[in-house]
Amino acid sequence: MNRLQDEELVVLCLQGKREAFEELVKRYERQIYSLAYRLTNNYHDAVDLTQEVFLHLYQVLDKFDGDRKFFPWMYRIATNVCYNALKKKPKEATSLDNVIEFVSDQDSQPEDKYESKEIRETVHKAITELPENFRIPMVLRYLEDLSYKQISAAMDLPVSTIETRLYRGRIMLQKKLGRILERRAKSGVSRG
Amino acid sequence: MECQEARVKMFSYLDQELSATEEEALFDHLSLCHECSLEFSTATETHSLLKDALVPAEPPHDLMERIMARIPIPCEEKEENTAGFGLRLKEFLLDLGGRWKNALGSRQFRTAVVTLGLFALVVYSTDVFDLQLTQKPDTNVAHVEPKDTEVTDSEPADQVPTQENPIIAPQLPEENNDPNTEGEESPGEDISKEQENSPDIAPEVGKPTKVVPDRDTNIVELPQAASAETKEETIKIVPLIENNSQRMSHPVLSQDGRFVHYLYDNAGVEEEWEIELKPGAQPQKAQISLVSEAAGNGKAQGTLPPWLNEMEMIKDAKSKVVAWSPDMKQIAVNLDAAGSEYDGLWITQPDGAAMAQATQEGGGNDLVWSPNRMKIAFTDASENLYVLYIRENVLIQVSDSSEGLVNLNHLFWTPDGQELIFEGQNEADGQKSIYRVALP
Repeated sequence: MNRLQDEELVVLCLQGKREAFEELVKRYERQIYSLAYRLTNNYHDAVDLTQEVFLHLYQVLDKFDGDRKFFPWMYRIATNVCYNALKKKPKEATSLDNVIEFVSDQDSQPEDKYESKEIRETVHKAITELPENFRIPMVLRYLEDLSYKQISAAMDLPVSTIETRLYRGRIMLQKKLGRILERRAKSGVSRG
Repeated sequence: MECQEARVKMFSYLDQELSATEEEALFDHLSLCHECSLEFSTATETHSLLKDALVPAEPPHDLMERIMARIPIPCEEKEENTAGFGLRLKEFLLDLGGRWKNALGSRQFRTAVVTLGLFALVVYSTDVFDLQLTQKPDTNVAHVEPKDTEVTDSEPADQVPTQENPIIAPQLPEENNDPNTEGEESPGEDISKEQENSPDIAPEVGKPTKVVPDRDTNIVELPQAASAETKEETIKIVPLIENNSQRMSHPVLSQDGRFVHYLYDNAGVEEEWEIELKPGAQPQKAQISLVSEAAGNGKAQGTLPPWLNEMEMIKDAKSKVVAWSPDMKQIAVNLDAAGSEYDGLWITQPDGAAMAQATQEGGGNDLVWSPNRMKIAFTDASENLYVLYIRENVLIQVSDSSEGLVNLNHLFWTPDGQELIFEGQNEADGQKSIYRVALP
């Protein structure tokens, strides 16, 4: 089973082999979970969302066109399921400002603290506050290192729209993360 | 290069998306513009910050088990479940398509030229299903009590979470809206009356001829009610607005019937736009808001007769959508009876006379009469869109959800009844858009 191509596994699954679907889950659970986690920044939501993605995938597996590659098709579906779920989810009430305040109060800490977990958490939180339209390309871009073209295929939007959304999303993040960015600039943490 | 462009392109540069020429132009600008050069430093910091933060996350060790636990049934059972009516219908339709193609023998020009009369001979009985229900004798049928409703209980498909269709009853009459009565026995008087007058469902009448437009040409042969001739029509779903890649949803017809209003996702901001229903019209931002007002109105067109809601068949249905004909002389019911024989589109007179199953296709959430009540557009549980031409007794499959258009919603006919407009979702990417299809 584990030597088969994804596309072969799909065929087996449609023939009734549950193990084949299990193998697909095994191959991609980490990737889908990471996507869900970076989009929601919440363990429980990410687990739910990952389950939802695979459930939906299972339900539409018979629509997979065997002449194409499985991964981009799957990723597109995953993106879509996540997008719909994010749209439905009510916005969180907590404000990012508090978190930033918390971090920026750490002035007395050594500079390298800014590489710490808290900084990353602040960034994650800021990302989840982006509108879904901007959040998804952002996560696809950095987490999966997808090119604009690949993101455009996953979201079925023109490349130019992806470029604009990524730009606007990053400008929004720059505003939210202003203090951290300043701090990093001063300490020269950036590795470009 | 202008500053604004440079600000966008500096991120594209960091993403390694610029060509050599673009890169050169960007750095030429940065060398001359101090402000942009400062922005570039910030952009680089932002890029680096995001790169550090957006790394893969470790899933819980039991994630796989949790996922597999939610996969409802083994694949083989899934196959069996779907191999019911829906699949048989699909096979039948495909077969029908195949017959057309074979009959024509040409792959380049696979227009269906078989007349529907011939189809009726080959595939169906030649009975003409007369939906001029008012002309039927009252003795034909009073209202209907199905004999057998156990099917809905034992249907394994019920357990599949995809079948979550809620009971939809947008036009439940106010006076009969008490949820407590559901499942309770009707008052004795009603029961005896029903027993007296409850013959079987109308005897099998000629089912309409089903037609699936040719997949390549979208051409379909439509018989003309007034003559024995057929007319060739192209049934093709096209976007309401060409070359639009943004999300569009909630189409509504303006009161004068001239404009379609809809919600438009303008780079993340949802706005109401409108387009006039005439060739060459351009969309523009709407000055007045119709979409949100229309949201509450739904499809309510009148009160339903209480007998309809008391029918076992209707009570046991997984979902139903009911609509009065525009002249208020007939009622159509789109019934999802969980794969039982009652699945489909039903048409009845308001007093329950001549209740008859017009098509076995049906069971979806959409149902809308054309303004001249000669056509009914509706969906089935698999979200395929059909249009029943009542006088011609022809059923056209307008869309096939397996081709990727799902979640059809907000259907309406244009005032001339020649076109159907609706919201649909591209299954692969979830993008909602608005479509139109001419159905003369």
